[in-house]
Amino acid sequence: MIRINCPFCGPRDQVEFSYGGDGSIVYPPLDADATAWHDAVHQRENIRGLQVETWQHVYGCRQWLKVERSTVDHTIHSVRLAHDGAAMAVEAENGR
Amino acid sequence: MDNFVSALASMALPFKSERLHIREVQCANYLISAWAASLGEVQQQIAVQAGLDQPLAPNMGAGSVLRVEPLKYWWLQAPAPTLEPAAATVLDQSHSKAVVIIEGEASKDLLNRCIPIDLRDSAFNDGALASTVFHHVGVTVWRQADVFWLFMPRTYAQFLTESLLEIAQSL
Repeated sequence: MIRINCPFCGPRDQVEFSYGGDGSIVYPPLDADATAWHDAVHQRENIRGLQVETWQHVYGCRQWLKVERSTVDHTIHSVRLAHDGAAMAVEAENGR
Repeated sequence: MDNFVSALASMALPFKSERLHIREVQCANYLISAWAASLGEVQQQIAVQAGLDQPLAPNMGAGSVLRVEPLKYWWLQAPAPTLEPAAATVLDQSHSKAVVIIEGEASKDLLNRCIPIDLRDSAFNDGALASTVFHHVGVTVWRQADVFWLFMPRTYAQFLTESLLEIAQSL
């Protein structure tokens, strides 16, 4: 069981989250050629070690998160809200 | 909220035993959604209109307002607050939830059999709120003093309440 420390809700079980995939992908412009889109949509590194992933806390605060997780031992190294505005708002409050 | 029709009319509520009391409540539920840029202003506005001493912290409720998401609140009484549309939107979702109040010394025992949340006083005290899963269904629990409010999606409310009552029999 992975536990993810949600910035808004605190540590919660994995059952409350939905995996979103590779969080490091930067999508090309809409008018980029098919190869660029093919690569962005389908090509993935099979990382051994620290990987940036998106998860949605779908049964909690419903926010999308960027999670740094080790694919070797599932250790979670950092969690941040994916939406920059919401992330800054919550970080400002947590630091209060 | 007009024309309230209970989703739990066929259930054996209120439930009373020596250690538990479960009853349905009818309450309004206005969803307030702020923007990241307007959150500070909306936090203040909500505190003022709800008569709170300070803005609501994440996952806390006070009076009859709950902070359920970073940018979202539930306002549990009519009328809805007045907010500038540019700062926040207000949506009446009263009919989408069925709500029960659980009280009595076994209320934590009951909820601990249903949701994966640490309900000890040190982790979940007066005002604390958690959205979580109850038998694969998303629910929200709010503690008000020693009373627990359980907000369930209307279409699953009968199923979840049946489970609650079944477990309650054993406590």
